[in-house]
Amino acid sequence: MRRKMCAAAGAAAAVALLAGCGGQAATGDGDSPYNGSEIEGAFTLPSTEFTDNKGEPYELKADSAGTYTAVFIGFTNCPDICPTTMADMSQAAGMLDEAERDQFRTVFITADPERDDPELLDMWLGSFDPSFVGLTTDLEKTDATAEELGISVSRPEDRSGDYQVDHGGQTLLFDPEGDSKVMWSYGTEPEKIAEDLETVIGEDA
Amino acid sequence: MGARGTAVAASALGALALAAGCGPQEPRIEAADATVRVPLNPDVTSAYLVIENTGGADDTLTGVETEAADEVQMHESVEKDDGTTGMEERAEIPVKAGETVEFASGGLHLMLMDPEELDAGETVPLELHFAESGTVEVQAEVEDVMGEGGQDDGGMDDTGHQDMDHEDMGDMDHGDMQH
Repeated sequence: MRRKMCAAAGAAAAVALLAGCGGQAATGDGDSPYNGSEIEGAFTLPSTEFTDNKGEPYELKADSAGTYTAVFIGFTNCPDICPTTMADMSQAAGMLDEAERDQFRTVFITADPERDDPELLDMWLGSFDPSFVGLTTDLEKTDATAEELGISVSRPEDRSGDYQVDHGGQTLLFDPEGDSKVMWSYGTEPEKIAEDLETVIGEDA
Repeated sequence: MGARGTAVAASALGALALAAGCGPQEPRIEAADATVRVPLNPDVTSAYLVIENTGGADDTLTGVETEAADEVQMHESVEKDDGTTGMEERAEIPVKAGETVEFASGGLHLMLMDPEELDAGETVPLELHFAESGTVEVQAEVEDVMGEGGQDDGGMDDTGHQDMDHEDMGDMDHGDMQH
């Protein structure tokens, strides 16, 4: 859990990440009311059909409606970035009070559906927080979803042996209507995430 | 747990200091604070450590092995131009005279392929192969990803390694905030 980036570098990286996002309509700058970048309405959860980690159907927009939903795209063979991010989200959720936590959910979408089936996702996510939702679908819908959310995904042509999937390291927070609110870059401290969650949930309370 | 981890780390550090060459024009490698994550996916897990060269000459880490995994690769998480975060394999990691190289989340890390089943609190030996200093062994503590393998007792801070008191170490103590 040790992090290379200190808090200041993390904040700088958040800005750098935005700049690197290729013209996505993210507005995070010094004016952001959050520790993360403000991305108010820049992205909307698509109505894509997934299968969740319990093997049940999960329609991303409809089944996330009514809660604040953090979305991260990764894969379980990812040894470093993905587990660290999930651990951070779990720690952040643990800092919320019960009422806030009831309005918040973390969704992990696999960028590697050929290897990550619901069973593996369930086992993997259970290491962090049994309440986390893991979603899988086919490659085409996976990539379309990633594109809708402005998260880059790139996997090798040859996927026969051990391979790694490159993916954006950011986590996006959506409001209960499925509109984006905040983006946290990789390495954002759990306290900062929790603060933002409290702010966002408090805004509408 | 903390006491045992400290003892293991301290003795490993002492042994390494003795094993490495001590002349002024030789590299002197010390490895400490090694941790392995409990494998979450049976195919892969990660390991982290700090390598310090207190000697007077450069050295290079050329590879890592452990009995706890089929293969160990040296990787670096890098942010790419397309906005993705990916990993690049490193064949060699320079550890220059007087420098400290930190393997930490978000940067350099060891990737253990097909690891054994590992439980939090166990230790596994990592063999670090150096171009000049030969093989240096360090005991790595197996840790739960949520930090329940010895972090929440401050285990990372009591190894006597002066470089470990980063400001971001504050987030190591969240274990007790999980409720």
